Amino acid sequence: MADIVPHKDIAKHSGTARNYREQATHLEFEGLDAPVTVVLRSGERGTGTCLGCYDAPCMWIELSSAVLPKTLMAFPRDPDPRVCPTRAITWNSAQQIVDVSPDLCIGCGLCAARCPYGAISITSDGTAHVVSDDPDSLAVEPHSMDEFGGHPIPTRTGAIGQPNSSPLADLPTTITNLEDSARTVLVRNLLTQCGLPCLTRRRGDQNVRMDGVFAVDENRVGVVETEFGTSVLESPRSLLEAVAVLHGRYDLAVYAVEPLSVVLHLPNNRSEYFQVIQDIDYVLGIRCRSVTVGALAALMWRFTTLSTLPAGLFSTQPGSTDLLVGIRETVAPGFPDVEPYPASYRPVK
Amino acid sequence: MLRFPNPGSTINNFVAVYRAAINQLRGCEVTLDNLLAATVRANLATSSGHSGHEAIARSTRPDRSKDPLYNQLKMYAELFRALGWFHPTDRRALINRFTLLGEQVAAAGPHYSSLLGECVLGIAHPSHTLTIKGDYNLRPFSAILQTMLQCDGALSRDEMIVGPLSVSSDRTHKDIFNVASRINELRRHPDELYAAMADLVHVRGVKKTTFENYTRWPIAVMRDLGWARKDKLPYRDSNKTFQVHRLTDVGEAIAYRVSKSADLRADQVDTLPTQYKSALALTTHYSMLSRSGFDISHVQNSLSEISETYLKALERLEIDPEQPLLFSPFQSMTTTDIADAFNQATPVQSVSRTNSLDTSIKAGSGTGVGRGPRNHLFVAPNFVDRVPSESKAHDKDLSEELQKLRRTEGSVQAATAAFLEAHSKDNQMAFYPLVSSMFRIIGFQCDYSRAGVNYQRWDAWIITKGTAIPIEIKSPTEEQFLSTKAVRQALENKIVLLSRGGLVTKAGVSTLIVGYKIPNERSEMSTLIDDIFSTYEISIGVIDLRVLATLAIKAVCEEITIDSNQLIRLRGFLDG
Repeated sequence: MADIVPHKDIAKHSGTARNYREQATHLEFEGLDAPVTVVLRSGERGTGTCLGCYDAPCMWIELSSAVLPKTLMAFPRDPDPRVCPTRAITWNSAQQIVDVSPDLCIGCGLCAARCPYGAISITSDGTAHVVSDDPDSLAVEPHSMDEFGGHPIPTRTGAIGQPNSSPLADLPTTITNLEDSARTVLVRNLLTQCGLPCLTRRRGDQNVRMDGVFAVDENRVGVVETEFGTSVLESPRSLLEAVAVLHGRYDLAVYAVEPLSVVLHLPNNRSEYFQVIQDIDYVLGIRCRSVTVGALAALMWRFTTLSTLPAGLFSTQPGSTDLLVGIRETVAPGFPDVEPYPASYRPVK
Repeated sequence: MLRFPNPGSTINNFVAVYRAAINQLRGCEVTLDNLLAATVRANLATSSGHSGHEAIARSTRPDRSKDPLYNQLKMYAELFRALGWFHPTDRRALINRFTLLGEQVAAAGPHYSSLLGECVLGIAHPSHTLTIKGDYNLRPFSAILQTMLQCDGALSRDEMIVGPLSVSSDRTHKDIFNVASRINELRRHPDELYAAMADLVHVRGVKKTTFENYTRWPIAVMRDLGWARKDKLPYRDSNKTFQVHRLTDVGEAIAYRVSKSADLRADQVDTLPTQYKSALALTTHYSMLSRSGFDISHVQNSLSEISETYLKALERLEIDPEQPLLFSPFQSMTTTDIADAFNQATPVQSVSRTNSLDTSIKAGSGTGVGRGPRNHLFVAPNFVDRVPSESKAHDKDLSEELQKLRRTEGSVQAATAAFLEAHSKDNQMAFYPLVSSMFRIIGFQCDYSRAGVNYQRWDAWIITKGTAIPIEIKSPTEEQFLSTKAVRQALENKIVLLSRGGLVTKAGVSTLIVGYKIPNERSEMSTLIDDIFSTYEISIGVIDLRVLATLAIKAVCEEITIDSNQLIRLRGFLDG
């Protein structure tokens, strides 16, 4: 009797437990506490509801979406495919929906941004809320397995919430209290959701001399260093090391590497940080970029894509350290000047 | 102390390695080299600063005991066996096969946590499938959890070491009670635990850091399963606090279940008739899977048919059927009993598939062992006649000290050793002036940066041939052994100097690191120095205090010094 038995939560097939009557083409986000409006191909509108995806994009991220140069395909990535940094979202196999634990949820909005069916919004309590009762009766019995053609890729408008609302405003405290692995997952998934598919190194792997790599385009690879403590000045040095390793061991041209620091706060203008970045640019011709977690999250909350990583985005130099200027000039004209928390877009004066 | 190997720090990776292996090698007997190849293919292996096949090439050595990747996979294999995911074949200890339990772990996909938790609780010694050093009659995670319950819900790492992981038996509640009582006594004052650890170190002849390494995997497991989180506790008779791992709500629930369970061990099961063993194995295996979220509905009929035999087995063991059972058949029964119970065939394929290591990847096959050839980065000094440089007040005293050491110690080597010992506790305020003084004695114009002068990002500098060499200094109290951190800072020093000026320098002139000692394993520093040179054409030179002292002693006693042309272009470790 050597039977292998299935796990109840494993997808038996692709698809969803329920479907909308027509394909979802658009999602309208109205901010915190407001349910998401889904627009179907027929024009019908209503409140989004959980369709019970067996491969739950709100729970699992596809790491293979990071298409890296051949020499980097062996990058020893963290294999953890979870979306939620704190494992707050779980599959309820009895009801065929996802549940969110309010005690664990930090309200980052990743699940809400990733749900293709508009089922998740963020509350002003700072937690994700899943609608599963289909209040506008949009859902029907599932099509057959053969008919499932993959999750739709609806357009998204509006915003998950105001950038300075509670979950993002609390990010400094939240991140300070997170385990290191949760922080890494958060950064990886924020970058990925903003169009820069990212792989991070496995925890404790000291052989990998960088925190992560991300795909920019067919000619460029990004390397990311995260620094959430007070040693922000370490970050440009670490980026230089990472670029040297990518060149020396993975045969990448220096000009093909985009270095990016992800920090919690931008250091103040008197700090050497911006001067060192300028020195590196001047001597080596390498432009180290900087972004805060708050800025990344705010960009994701408005579904901004960074996929080409244009010149000028997240670039700083002494006297010009306002990330919002570059954001508005390159990827999001009219992006609101509302900082999630002090020093998330610009140094504190 | 019960030893757990530590192949890596996250359970995610741990399970990913197993999953990669089983997906690629299902049905085969598995050698460590097979496991290694599977791990590499799944992008889960790094070594010597590389990944993929380059990692294997740099790791592989004729003496496999020195092969870091091989040893890492050996640790994985030992743990897989402890968890019941590998069983040994009859042929050799290092050849394994996958088990049905392991198949279930793979089948769980990302939902493996509950089953992993059950398997972790199932680790028990002695075991028929894993031989360990020491005479332990112990279910370690059960012992840890139950001890935590009796110790304010928490244990520190050191308490785990001297407590539940060092106890020879946990078969009775009294055993646990005694362990917990001792731990609670040790919490009176930090000296108590310190003494207990020192005693253990002395008795076992094992370093404290080695004991600490043995706890990494169990602590990581409890953390990643959500059973424990970090917290602090105060000592009873001291103002100090100490870090502990405290049971979470989930961990506490598990601990209570364990404390109320009947703990069934291999020696008890061995006494049963075969049909009782089979019924016990099947029922407990599928019960474990059911608890872990698996759907056992289609084996329910078969389990019903053997339920009567199962109850008789419990009766023979004097276990109340209503009491929860702590028993994992794949971890406690013989492979023969398991094969009988589950009607399992043995694997038909051995190791000849292409899943073996590519045999062209041998030690020294082009990429070199370890970090590759590094001889070019160990540079012997070229000596020339010393031309005295401008000296400062302290230099004369230091010169006399060095001369005296040379006389009294009898050799340069002994003198430098004594000098190192004398400065082993120097902080920055002492070490920076010392280093600059020594360079002046050697014959170079040198000074150190003063605190508060922020634009001087380098710690000291040498002026020679009209050009400045920036120096990054690490005092012994900052770092006993130099590391890649100093390499990064030396690189930054050079860039800042080239960018901002203040001192005249050129791109081809080196940037130096001076520290107390160079690391025993120099490969990471040396590889990075090479990477930086190949990428930025910036040379980084490293001089430790031993070599600097050697140069200084030769300068004062023999009037010779290092050629400035060599120092100005130094790349790698100056090897005196």
